[in-house]
Amino acid sequence: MKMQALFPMTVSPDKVLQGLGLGALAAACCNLYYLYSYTMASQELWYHSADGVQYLRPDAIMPSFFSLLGFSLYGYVIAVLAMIPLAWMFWRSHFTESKSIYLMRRLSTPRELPRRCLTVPILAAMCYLILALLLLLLDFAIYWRCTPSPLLPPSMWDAFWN
Amino acid sequence: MLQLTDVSKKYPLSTQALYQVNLSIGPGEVVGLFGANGAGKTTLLKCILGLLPCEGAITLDGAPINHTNIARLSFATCEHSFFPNLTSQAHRDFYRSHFPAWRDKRFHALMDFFHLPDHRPLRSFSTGQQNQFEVILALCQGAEYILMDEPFAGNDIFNREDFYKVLLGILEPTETVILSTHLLTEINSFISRAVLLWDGQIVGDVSALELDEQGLTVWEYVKEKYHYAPDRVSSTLWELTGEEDNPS
Repeated sequence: MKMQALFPMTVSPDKVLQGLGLGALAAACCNLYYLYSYTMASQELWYHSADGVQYLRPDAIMPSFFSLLGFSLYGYVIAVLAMIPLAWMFWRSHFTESKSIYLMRRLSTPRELPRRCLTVPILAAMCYLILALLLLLLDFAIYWRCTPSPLLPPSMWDAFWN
Repeated sequence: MLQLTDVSKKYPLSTQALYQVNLSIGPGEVVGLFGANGAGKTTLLKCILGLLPCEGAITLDGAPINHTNIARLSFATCEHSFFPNLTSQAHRDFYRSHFPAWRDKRFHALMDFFHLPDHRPLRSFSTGQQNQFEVILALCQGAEYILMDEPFAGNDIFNREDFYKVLLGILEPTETVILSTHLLTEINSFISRAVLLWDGQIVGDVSALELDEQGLTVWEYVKEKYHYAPDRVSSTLWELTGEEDNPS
């Protein structure tokens, strides 16, 4: 019941939370693209000599972090944007099967309806943004720690932005 | 006192739904709001509740109706305003947390009277049960003005009859009911006043006492005010089939 206080009375919190969790998972899966492109780019840096030893190519160039990142975080952008229709769906749910909107609009707390329709989408959007930021930092950590140091810009800051 | 002064409502791209309606309803009245389809009954109730914007003034004891006094009004509608996914117990909890004057004893009594289940979601109720529950919520909210818009559409006659009796039995002297319905003959003996709407205007406003004095039923009063032509059916049938006696 406590969790329900954050949601419209017309929707089941469990189902919504499940959907939001799946959204986070799907967005995280998009990030696999970064790991794939980083692995591909890393393999390009090396060649194998006849004796099987791996050497760094003299003309090797490591692509910039952001070019490797590509659209791997777009999943989170989509997830954040999806919170707008979610809020709309929450509001519309008061018109489904009955007109519970009449009851919600008759409450003496006029903010009850917007609070229930907006709280979860806003919180979820913030969580998605935080997750996206954490993944971005993790991706960059991989880039910074796993790329051969001669191929990295002198400062971490340059590596991040260039 | 619920006071409506020059209340008008026009829907965009539509006709005038209400035109300069003036009405005062005091505590303890049971008002029947009558009128043909499209007369403006539902619009009037929704304007009172602030669910529709309108021109004019609607006040409750001199104050405009807003979130500070809206809990003094409750609403039962044939469109239903409950949450279909919740049980009746969950509704009770919700109402208790939002309406301090919630009448728990009355709620349990009415739930028992109608044999409504406690732990099933409302969407699994029959239409009749849903109507009953809608009205129970309106009666138990603790409101002084209980507005009902065709609350018994879909209920059988025995059910409705029982409900009117229970309604009159449980209402306290300060509780006011405004009941919009087409079931004129049924509520004849239950109302203390009849208000008649026609094309968005009040064309009749009479107390039950005045009707008694005139020896009229509500239905007769409505027919009189609506200039009902008693021969219109036979006249039309005669024109169509030639089988009825020519009324002229």
